[in-house]
Amino acid sequence: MAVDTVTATAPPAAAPQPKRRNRRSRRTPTRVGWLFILPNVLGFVAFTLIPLIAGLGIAFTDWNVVSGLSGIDFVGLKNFQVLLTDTKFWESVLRTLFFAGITVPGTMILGVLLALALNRDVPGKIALRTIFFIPHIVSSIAVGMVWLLLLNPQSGVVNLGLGRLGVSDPPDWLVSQTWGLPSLVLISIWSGVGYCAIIYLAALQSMPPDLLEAAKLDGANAFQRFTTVIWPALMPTTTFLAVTMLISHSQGFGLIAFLTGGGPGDSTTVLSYYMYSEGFQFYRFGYAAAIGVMSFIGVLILTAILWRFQKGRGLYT
Amino acid sequence: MGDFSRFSRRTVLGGLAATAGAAVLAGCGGTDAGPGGGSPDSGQLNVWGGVPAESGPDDLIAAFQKEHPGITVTYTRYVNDDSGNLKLDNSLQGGVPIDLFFSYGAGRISKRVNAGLTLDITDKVKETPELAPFAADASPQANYVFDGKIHTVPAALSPGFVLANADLLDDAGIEVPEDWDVNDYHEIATKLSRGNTHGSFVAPEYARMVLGPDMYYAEGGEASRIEDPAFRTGLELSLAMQNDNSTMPKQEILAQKLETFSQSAFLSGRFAMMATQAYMLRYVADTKEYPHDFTVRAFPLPAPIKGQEHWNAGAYGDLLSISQKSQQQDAAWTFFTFWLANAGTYMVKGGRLPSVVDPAKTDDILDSLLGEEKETLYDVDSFKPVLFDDTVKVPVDTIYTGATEIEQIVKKSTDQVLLGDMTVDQWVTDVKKQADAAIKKG
Repeated sequence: MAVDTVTATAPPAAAPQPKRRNRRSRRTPTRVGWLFILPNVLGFVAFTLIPLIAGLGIAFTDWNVVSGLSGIDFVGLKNFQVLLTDTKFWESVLRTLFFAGITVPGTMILGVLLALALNRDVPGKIALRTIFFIPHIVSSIAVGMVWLLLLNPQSGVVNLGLGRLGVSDPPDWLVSQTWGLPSLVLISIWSGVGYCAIIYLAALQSMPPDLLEAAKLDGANAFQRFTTVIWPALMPTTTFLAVTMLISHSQGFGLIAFLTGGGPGDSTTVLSYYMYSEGFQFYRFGYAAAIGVMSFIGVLILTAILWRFQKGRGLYT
Repeated sequence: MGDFSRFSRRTVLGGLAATAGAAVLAGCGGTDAGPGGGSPDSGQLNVWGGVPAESGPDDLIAAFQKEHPGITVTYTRYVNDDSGNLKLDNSLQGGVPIDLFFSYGAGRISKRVNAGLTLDITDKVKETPELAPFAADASPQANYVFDGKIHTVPAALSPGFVLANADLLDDAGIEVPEDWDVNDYHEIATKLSRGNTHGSFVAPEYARMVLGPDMYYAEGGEASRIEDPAFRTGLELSLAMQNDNSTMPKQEILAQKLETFSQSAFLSGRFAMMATQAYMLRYVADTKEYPHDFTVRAFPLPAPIKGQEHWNAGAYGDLLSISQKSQQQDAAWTFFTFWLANAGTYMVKGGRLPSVVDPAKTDDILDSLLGEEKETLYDVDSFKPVLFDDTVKVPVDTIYTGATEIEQIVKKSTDQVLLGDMTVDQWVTDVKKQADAAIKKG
């Protein structure tokens, strides 16, 4: 009897055990998942999140980094107040908008055209894809060096070519106040087209072929097929490229620092270079951080607008 | 114009070589232990400087360790640019063990002194008779002084001089007058301009030679003095020389980055004369990297106004300091004095003239500076008078407010004038406004 009793009461006592196992088994993959992404998360926290928060904090201080942490003076909104009346700041905002506003669409338009061309049966298309992609992976200093030689006003190939074509007074390119920024736009487009083309090409090749076939059967010509089928299908890729390129070009620094140093005058001083000058040349880190915060907010707003714009326009949305 | 009495670096060395030994003895007696104290004849020192180790520091440190076997020295080279200086500042601030370090330029050292990163060595300098010219109250001023205190001593003194392609001068039959002025310079540069060769790289630094120290600041440093006629005259001279092709066009200089690589253009014969300092001679001696078949000759800088005294556009450099946080400040002082006494022996091959020169060794220094092919590459006799002339007056700035920014404003605006994007009048108005704003921002 006693045995029976024990036997009878045993199942209820044992019943919770499988539940605990279930909970544990549910937790285990989560923990393993966290372990997998831990190195990345640590890197993100250490090198992105903490600097970002610190940067936000520094924007409200007057800090000369040489003085260490003890040299931090909290100044409230003073840096932002000064920024609002700083003509150099607003001029650099306009230059940044010009630079990113032409470079991003310019690169994407040429990128999509190149992708469409490379998507056809072109002889040596594998080699061509590699060639077009090379500028993206080459160091920006190497790219800059090549363009420095090409755009030399006296001995550069570009002006020699223009001279042959009968242009009597070709631009001075990088050493001209008028042409300095357009020259940087030109170089940035050149070095970014290959990257855009490869991303677009991947999107084109993953597009369901039956859509195009259906459009052809319906009698759509090449232009109609592009506008009604291909372009909507590319919209998610376009959004991705527009956002990432907008972010990278609003922070474009390497080429400018190497090729023009923000000059002649201030003609190529975009926001990122202005921020660099204030922080790393004049040691006004609080003010530089305030420029960084304003730049961050600006890019955030533009990205939100882009995101909003593409919503509902893609083929799959 | 300031004090025109001269600092003679030849008088300095006297017994400085023995000072390191004296420091050791003083340390042994325990009378001069600094905040970081330590022993003056033992320890491990970390030294940060901008000169590549192989261009002198390695040899100097080897000689030091031979003489002071109890002290081990590790030299770390940092690149003297924005990021390199930030690295040094962060390291000093963050507690990286650095005992001695070099700063390059008044703006850099003033920031470090103001941040409390440097040891006050006023008393140490005062107690070392051989360093008297670098004391706070020395006349003429040969050192940077901060609120009456000394935190650094310049290890290098590089007077400015004109380096010329002697072959081009001789071919044109040009004799440079001993007391030449900027107008003579302009005239000679015009005569030397033929075909693709320009007479000069750029125009002489007129305003610096006229105004000397603190040239951008009005009395007290509360405002700029850009409106001083010396700036206008200097700019008009630059413009005139560019317009008659006697200097290189600014476009060409910027497009080919010749402000950084002027040696390439000079040694390939693209211009005949340039105002420069001793560092340029190491390129002349490097015939593998810069092959050329002409000799070079040195001249004193032309006077801004004929017959009138003027400042030299050279500079004191290699500003050596001891870190406030050093735990071995006595050993650091031993090394400090050794470096100053021996820079003339070991650092010259890297193109750095010492601030302390033993008069008996000027020929050795010159030999080391000019290299093995000196007879074919240089008009040797022309160099000694310009490099070791005790009568030149090198300005030492005392005001540093917004100095880096003002220099950048002046440079960028001058570029604009020479590129034809701004008039001289606009330059004066614009630079004045911006320089005043920079001083206000501090």
